[in-house]
Amino acid sequence: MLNGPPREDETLAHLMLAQRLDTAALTRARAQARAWGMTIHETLVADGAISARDWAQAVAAVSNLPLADLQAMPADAALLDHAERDFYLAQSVIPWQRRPDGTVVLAAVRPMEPAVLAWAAQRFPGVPIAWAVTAKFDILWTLQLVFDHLADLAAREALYLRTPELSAKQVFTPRQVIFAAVVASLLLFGLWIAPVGTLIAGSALVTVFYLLSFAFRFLLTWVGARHDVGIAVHDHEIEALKSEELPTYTVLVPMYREKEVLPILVHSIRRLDYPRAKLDVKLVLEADDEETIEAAKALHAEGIFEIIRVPKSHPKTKPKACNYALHFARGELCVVFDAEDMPEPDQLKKAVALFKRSGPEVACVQARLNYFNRRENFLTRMFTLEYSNWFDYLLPGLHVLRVPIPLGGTSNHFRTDVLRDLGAWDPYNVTEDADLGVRLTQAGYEVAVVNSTTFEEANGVLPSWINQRSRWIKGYMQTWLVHMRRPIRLYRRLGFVGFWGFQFFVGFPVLTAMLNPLLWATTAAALIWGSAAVDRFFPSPIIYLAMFNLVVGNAMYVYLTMVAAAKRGWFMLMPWALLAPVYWVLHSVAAYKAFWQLLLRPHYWEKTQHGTSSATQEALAAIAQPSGAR
Amino acid sequence: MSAGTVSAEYTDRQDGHAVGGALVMVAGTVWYAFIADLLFVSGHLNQVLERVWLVSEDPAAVAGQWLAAMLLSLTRQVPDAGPQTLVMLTVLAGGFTLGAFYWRLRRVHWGLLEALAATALLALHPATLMLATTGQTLLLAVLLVGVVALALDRASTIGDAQSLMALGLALAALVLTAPDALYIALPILALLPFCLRDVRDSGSATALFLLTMFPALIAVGGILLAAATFGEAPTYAINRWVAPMHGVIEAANTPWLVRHGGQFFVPFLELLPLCAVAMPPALLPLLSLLVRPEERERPVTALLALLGGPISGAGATLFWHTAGPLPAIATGMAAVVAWSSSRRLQPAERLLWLLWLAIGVVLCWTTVWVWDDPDRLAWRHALLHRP
Repeated sequence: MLNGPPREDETLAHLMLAQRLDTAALTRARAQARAWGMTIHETLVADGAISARDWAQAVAAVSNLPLADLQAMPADAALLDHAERDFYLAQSVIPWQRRPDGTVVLAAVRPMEPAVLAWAAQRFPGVPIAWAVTAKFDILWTLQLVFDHLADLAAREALYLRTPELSAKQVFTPRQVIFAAVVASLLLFGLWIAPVGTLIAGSALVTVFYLLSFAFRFLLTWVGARHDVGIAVHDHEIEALKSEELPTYTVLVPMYREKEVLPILVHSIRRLDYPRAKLDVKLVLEADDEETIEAAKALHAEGIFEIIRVPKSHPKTKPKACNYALHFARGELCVVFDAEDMPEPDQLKKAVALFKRSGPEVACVQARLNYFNRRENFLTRMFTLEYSNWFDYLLPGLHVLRVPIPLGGTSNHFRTDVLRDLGAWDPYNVTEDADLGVRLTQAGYEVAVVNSTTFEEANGVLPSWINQRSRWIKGYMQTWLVHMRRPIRLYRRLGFVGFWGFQFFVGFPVLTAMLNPLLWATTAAALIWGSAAVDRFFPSPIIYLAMFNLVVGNAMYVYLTMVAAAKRGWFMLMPWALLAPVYWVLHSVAAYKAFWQLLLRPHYWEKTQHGTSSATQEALAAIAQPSGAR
Repeated sequence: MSAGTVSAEYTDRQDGHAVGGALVMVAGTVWYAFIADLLFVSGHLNQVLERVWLVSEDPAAVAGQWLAAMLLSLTRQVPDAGPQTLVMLTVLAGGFTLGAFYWRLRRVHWGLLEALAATALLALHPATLMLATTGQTLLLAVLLVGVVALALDRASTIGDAQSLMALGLALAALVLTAPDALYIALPILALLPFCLRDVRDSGSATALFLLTMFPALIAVGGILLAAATFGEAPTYAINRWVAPMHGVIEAANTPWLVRHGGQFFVPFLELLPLCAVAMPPALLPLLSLLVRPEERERPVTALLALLGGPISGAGATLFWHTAGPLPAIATGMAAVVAWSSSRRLQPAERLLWLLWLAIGVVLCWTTVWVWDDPDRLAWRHALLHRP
């Protein structure tokens, strides 16, 4: 009979005698465990020196307890209570079996832990308790298996059931449909009764709206261009962090059919400057994506990497997968990375330092995104300029002006409890991060921007670019529609600057992308048939503003694109900014596709194909080389 | 003392400086208004203002000084506006400049009395008085020279993207305000690749050059396109720049041009002491260049304060584009003021600054060379000899 938790030193001795562990690894693990404030066991598993199963076998051997292989002998589902799921996960324990004599066998990674004993006495009063040893992956597998349906339901519907008005499940509300119908009717009526007057009013409205959009974009870039706006965390703050005080960090990596970039992901996670035993990495894979699941298993990565299989259900989106995986997150903080992301090694520590320095109102830290394959072709260059402008200027500008920040697709670091409280991501919104950024602000939280960059693969293939961009624009449309369901409430929550910032940053750019072709056609008509062709619709005061927009506004947009490269010193990209108008044409194409999809397939997720870039191939080749050859 | 306390004190101090700046602005406006009133009473201003007021009716004159023309045009839209409105505008701009100058001096640790004395001396200077009370668009150009100098200083010391944008926009505004600004803008542009922090090679130099020049190119391009749209020939837009005397041919017989027109070095050598006498603190940048390594490392603003006025004046004289030394002196003064308000001077330097400016003010009021032009002489006469 075991009288207390198995002794760690006995287990380690057993592993060494069984030649499953060498002295060098143990010495390293001891030092790390001391420095990080973790157990040697956790450190060894995180380091890959032993597997979680090795440890379980050794514990079972030294404590004379049975080894519970939960995949071979699954747990009795009747013993498991969904309400206790988080406890099972936190303590790595589950009620496994009930013997004929009534004894309940608990399968645990650390048997006889006082907290578990106390819980067991309360949960099974008067019932004899026996113990078995298992590995953490067996617990995870069991919890997924037993609570699969509920977790999947929660991942899909939790936000909608709690706050339907904040979910994009319903694309248009009846009131929005009525409003759109009234506006369209008035427009048609105006065109019928007074066509010239209506068109003049329209041109005046569009002209003023473009002017304000330009002014807002200029203001954001101007504010974001200050040298001290972007610097959030300094080196001395990182050095001041104590490893043992660092929180557990969950890293969610949703993937779908991306086995080719898995080595990049593992390599990037290994490069992170963070105690490895405090990393809780979830490879979030769709259950039907067998090839990626098998490829992930074949990597034989360290014990910090866990595979989360997302059940097949509708909608099949990244936010749903993240919501599902969030149920298994153990970290106080969590971050989402894409599979091909290469975060700068100090990113997690910078986020921790920023959270530590900030008040509880800062619930999310957005790292900057940029591209590692920027010199590949026209699209990747323009994408890089656009991202540089977005993350290096506009988002810091939004932060300074206290406008809601629509989060970028990856490298968003959250306080996990706040994320859960808010209902996490909207699985029906295809730019779930942008939507979450606005929801955070509405709930009174802030989003900060940290001076660390995650490098990604820019989409350099035109059809794929259009697909990706159409998804983003559709997501912005969804986000705008969701939050404008109650505009007065939104105004009250965001204030004047926040409300109009939201309109100019989320709503209007989509509208401009759709209106641009119309204005280009008008300009072309004036050039081909002379200004008389359009004079009637642009009377004297309006034409001056329209000319200003056409020449100065557009040229200044080109200029702002040019400026984007300055902060990072990527001067060779600057001349490419002159080709920005060509890029805008592609935006408009994507916008119309997005609008079409919003009407017909609002929740369809246009998958972006990664791993196509030659830079990615080179990175993979470099990672595949043995370290000595590099 | 905690960081929070320090920060709060810093904020309070900044707020105090801002309030002080606002009070100085009001006082400066009242002062200039008082002088303008004296000039009105004497009847001197009417003719001068009438000339400026009518400029915006002359397309050839408008071309090349778009920003000033646009402001004039907007002013003319104001109900009951007349030539006198121009004085009101320059008086307000003059007062604002004094307030901003005081505020900036306080930010770079000038004492209250020091800053007040410096501002008062500047307000007494005949050049600033003339610019602020005669309703001329030259004031706008001079203010923009100051802004360019500040932006240039920030670009060369901090070098962030915002400073490059500011420099580009200020240069664009300057070039579009006064045709003669070419003679200060061109030397700046020529020196630009050598003064920006991020210039590492020819590629980065070209890129930063492009970044700084682009707003001006946009502005000129926009004007050309707008001219074309309204059926004007492209030359219309640059008419003023290419015209003899920049379109003010009636000034060709001024004493200055009669003596120096078509020459560069002689007027440069004459303008150098003139600028120094009109604004003796211009010698402080020279001293700073001699004794401070950090100033030599980023010398462009000090050089602009020292040589900006003479170079621009001599360049304009070479091409017969200036009627006299006043624009060059005002340009130099603006650059010196900008340099002074962006450096932390030692107490002895500040004292020297005040002393030298006091001497400069006295010399300007008393010596003959400032008053060798009939217009300026008339202005002084109107001010000092009441009817």
